[in-house]
Amino acid sequence: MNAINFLVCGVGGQGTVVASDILSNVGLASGYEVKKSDVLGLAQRGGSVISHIRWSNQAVHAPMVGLGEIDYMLAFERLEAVRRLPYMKPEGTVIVNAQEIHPIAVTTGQMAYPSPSQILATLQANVAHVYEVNALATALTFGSSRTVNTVLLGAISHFFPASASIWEEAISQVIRPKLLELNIKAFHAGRALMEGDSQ
Amino acid sequence: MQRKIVSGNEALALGALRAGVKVVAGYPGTPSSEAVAFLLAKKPEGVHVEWSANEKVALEIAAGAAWAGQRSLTTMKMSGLNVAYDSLISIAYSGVNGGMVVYVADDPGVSAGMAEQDSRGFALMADLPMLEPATPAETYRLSQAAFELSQRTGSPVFLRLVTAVAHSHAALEVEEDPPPPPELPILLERDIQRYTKAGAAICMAQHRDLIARLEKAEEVIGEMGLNQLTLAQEAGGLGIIACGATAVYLEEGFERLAKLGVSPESLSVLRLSSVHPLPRQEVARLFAHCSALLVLEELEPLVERELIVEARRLGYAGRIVGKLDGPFSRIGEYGLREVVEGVAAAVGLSLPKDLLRGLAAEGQAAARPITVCAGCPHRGTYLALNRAIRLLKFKKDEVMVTGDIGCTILGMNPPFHTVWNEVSMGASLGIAQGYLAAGLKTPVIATIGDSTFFHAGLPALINAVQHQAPLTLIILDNGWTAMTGMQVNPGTAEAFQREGWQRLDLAALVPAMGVQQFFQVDPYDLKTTTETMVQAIALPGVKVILARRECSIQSKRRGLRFRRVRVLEEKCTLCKLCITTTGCPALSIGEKAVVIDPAVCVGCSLCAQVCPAKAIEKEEIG
Repeated sequence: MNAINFLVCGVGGQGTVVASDILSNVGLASGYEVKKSDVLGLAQRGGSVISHIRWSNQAVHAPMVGLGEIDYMLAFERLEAVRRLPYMKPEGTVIVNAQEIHPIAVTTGQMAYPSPSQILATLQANVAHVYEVNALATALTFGSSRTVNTVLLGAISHFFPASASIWEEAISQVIRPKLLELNIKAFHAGRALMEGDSQ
Repeated sequence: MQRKIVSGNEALALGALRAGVKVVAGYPGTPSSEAVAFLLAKKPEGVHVEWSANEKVALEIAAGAAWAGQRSLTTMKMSGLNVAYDSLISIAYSGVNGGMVVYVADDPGVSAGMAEQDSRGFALMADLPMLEPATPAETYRLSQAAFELSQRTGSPVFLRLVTAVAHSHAALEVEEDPPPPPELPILLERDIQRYTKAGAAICMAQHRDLIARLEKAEEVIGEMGLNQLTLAQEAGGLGIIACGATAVYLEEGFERLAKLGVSPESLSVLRLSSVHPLPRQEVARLFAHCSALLVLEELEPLVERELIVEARRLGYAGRIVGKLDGPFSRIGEYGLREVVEGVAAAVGLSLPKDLLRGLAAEGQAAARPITVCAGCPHRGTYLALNRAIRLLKFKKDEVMVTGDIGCTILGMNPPFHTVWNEVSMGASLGIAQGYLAAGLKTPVIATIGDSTFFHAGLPALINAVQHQAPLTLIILDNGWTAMTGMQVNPGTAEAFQREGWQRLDLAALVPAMGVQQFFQVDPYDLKTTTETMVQAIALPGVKVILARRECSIQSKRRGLRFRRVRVLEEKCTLCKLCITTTGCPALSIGEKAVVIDPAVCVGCSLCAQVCPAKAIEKEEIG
């Protein structure tokens, strides 16, 4: 089966589920069979959150993907990218947001948060394609950290032939009308972040 | 029909609507909550939908409606089924008139922190049929089939989903707005023989009826073709029984197995949708065709045991591979790897060691314990309780603080480390009374949330009052059933109750239960909350403190901010005490001073109240 397997990971409250909903809708609009699964745990309380999304030209059976099977990881937070590394195919692609959300063991000084260069080195040592984007900084230029998810979707959209209008339509199916314009702008800003990179 | 992406829970709800359900009652519990939540948001015409006070009440409402000849659905997580089970056993004996479906969600792999209970065991014990889908599409189909099965047999029918199905999403054809349920006459049947348990003769006659209904169910399930048997062309190969969610991993596994030299055509497969009763005809055909059997089922080896019994009965001598004899664990959920390894073990194939094991990457990352949100009122309550214990000159490990289910249990985590234990809904009160009865002389404190208190705390508090158990109960009242996604409960503010409903105010209810020492505090006010706790804990008799402040997720959604809070950079000594004491996610360490993220902060000002340098300024709004 030629499925494209995505893993969206981050910290509860960052908007990963909305991003995974949009990613599913883009798959559907692109003509794929789609399955998605949110492993929420206790999502809103600052825990680790992941979603699996699968697009395929054939029937998709399992909603979740095993270790070593992910093609694209969209990591909303640096440490979460490292945590979910075992899911990646070595030839896969990681897009990691340069944001850090410190677990309480770190803020209370019991543990150190790895440096950005350490994290990048770990990712690069294991996965062929690693891209770091500063989605939070981009989102804040629109005045709201709430658009980090659509900025990151813009970044990952760079890797797929689906037109921007397909993504916009998928975003409009999920985002409230009041916030839609802001999120479409954020999406394009995220898409522009990757334009300098070749695939 | 419309093609759209729906979750397993939504598919179940939409299937029930299509089957003409008229009454839906449940209690929130991960991973089942979205079924009722979806229907409440949808407001389908002619359908009564409610969150009930607990699962037992919800199940009784569904049963009453089904006795009255209407179709009904009740929903709960596995823990809730334990609560409802007393009534269910009795209702099973009586049977139902309208179709009644009991949706129970199990959680193998524990995504939401509870026992890995296998609720299929309840179907066996209650002699009730149980159906189990593998995908959202199958959930939509089986949700409708369950109503038909219930109607045709007169038996309540279980529909069991595991997290991987309830929370998975797929594109499928659904009827989004089926017509309202048909107008059926309300049955009023006075039949003591059927609807009471008055005496041995009545009960044993009902037991006979119950068993007869289950036998009928096996027949009807066969007629409806709910289980799919595919026999390999050649006899003598391996037969696989795939239960519920495992079927999708088997489908995926075929491709892997082919690469490893196991031809999928050589395998016979029974996709089992009816967990109970076991379709014995199909099983007999598998026995006749296969030299060995492999059972794919998460958690307990229930089907495996039943197969062994059938094998003994029919004289089948082939090996039955599963958990009792085979590689599978009773712990955790299955995935592609488990399925491929199981088939390999059954056909004697050795696998490459690293197959499906993932990157040997340094996946270690600091754990991210869940914590209370920015502005959560529970933060104030637990900070105050820790202070009160200290002020009363006790050490933390001398004072028993029992915990309960819901967001309040986060008091067990850093930075609070306040709560000692977690059992089940309402258990904080009973366990606390047990410690007192055991002879503990230091203070005993029970903590519970508002919804949990309504659900199962009331009888336990009544017990404490009657026996004058000298405990201190803290009700952390945030006005919502928060942990499961903000459901309305009996104590939720009037403005959020539906028109015509009545809110129950804990501040009136608790004193009316005979609690003579009742206190109410605002957990955003650390000083007063602490002082009240010191005072209450030192008193004799039953003391109840109502710590009341709305859940900050909800108040924030409505745009409420309480105060402006700001760090005075020149005063901040970077001692980090605000962070280490409160653990608030809005706080982080900046270059010169602590930084408050304005997008996260709701202005509870607890950080300002713990800052020893008075470096955090608060300004009242309006």
